[in-house]
Amino acid sequence: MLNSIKMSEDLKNLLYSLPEIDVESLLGSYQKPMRESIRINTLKAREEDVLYMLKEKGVELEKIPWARYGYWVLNDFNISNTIEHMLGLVYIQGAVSMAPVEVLSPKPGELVLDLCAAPGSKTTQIAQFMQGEGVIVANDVNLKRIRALSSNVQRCGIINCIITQADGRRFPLWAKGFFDKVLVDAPCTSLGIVSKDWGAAKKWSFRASERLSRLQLSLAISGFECLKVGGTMVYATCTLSPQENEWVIDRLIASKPNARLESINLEGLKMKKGLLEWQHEKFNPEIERCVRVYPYEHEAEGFFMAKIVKESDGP
Amino acid sequence: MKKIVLLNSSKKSAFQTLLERQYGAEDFSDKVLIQAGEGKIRLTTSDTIKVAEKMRGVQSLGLYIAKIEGQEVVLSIEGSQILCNRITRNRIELTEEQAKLWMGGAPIQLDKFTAVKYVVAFYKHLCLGCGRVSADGKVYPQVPKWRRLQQEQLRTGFT
Repeated sequence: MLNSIKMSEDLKNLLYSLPEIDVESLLGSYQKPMRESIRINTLKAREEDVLYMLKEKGVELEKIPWARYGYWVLNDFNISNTIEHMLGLVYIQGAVSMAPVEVLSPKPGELVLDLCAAPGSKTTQIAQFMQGEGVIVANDVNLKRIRALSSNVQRCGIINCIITQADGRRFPLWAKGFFDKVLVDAPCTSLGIVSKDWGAAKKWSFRASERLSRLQLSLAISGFECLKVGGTMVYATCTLSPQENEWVIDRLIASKPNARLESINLEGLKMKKGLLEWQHEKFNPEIERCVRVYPYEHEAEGFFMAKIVKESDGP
Repeated sequence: MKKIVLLNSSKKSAFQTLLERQYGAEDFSDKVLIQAGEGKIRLTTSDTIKVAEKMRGVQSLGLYIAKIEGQEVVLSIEGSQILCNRITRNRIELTEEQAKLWMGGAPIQLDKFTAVKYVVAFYKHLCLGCGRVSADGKVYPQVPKWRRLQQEQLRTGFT
């Protein structure tokens, strides 16, 4: 199996360095398309009405247990080319990619920052949870990706969203201590979505992962600084490398004594605890509260998530 | 950041008059409307404006709902969806086949002549946005290219 998919030597070494991963199952999942899933956009229509419309068209759906408005698409049906999709009644989104916003659990009336927002799947999901009350700031550094974000925010009918283009690392300069909730869905080496892009496996390297991890740490610190006291941040990536996951959170809590990691529980989502040790490096025992979701568990994306609360004003 | 320009009361009132005349729709009088250049109007909340004034690098805020072209209001898909059942004038009802064509950006031939410049299309209870009526009685849907159904799949049967 290892030879049937083109992987860099670094990636092979990484996979066999992860203590709990089922490498054969992982490689099998890399070679299969992920199960299609959608989210019903209740900002535009009632969930039951959209379900009825899709059912009439012949779409077979099954509820995703951990995602409030999420459904698996069971049959072969091109949802992206339906009126319901174009009108913004449904949003095509990976089933596990719905998990970070479920963990963040934004409420109506809150101020929420999505620091790396494009193309907007999670921004539009946050907006749905907020029901038009409160404000979402959806930021991205890349103007081209912001166009996709704007389109999706428009299609989903969101009135309380501000789209900004800025380097996420600079956000505390104008928004320190401002937000109730922050999502840092950081750019990563994408080892959780290789079945969408085999290139990620072919070009993966420890060096690139390490380089990205420094950016990820800066973004995580920035996001944390933008939280109000008592606010919650979710840090998420769609990769498996501990360098971009546990290492980042370990360094974050080491540099921010007022950061506390919280446990994550989502019904029906098969998760593993964060690693406490990797390549002779030991992490803070709290890291165990982070979670890893492997792509083969649900024929969906692989994800890492950490939920961090700001307990007090920092030093 | 570009200055956020709220629609002042006289402009808001002019907008409401146009909406009423064209679509018989109730207005957006209880909503916060902002100008977004080239006659475009966006809908948002007062809290969103307050937060936007604090942010840097603001690209956009709120929802694009309409564009004013001379004495005509062209509703976006979202603008028409917000007004939806309150639109009582210049509305056309489409069949399923016509709705697919509409969302593919293809013109729809009207059964009877209409002298108006824009109509709003409905399919069942869904609002599909505005279309421009041409002299030959065809309606050209104002569906942005990125929201159009793919023509190839429309020809081969809707999936």
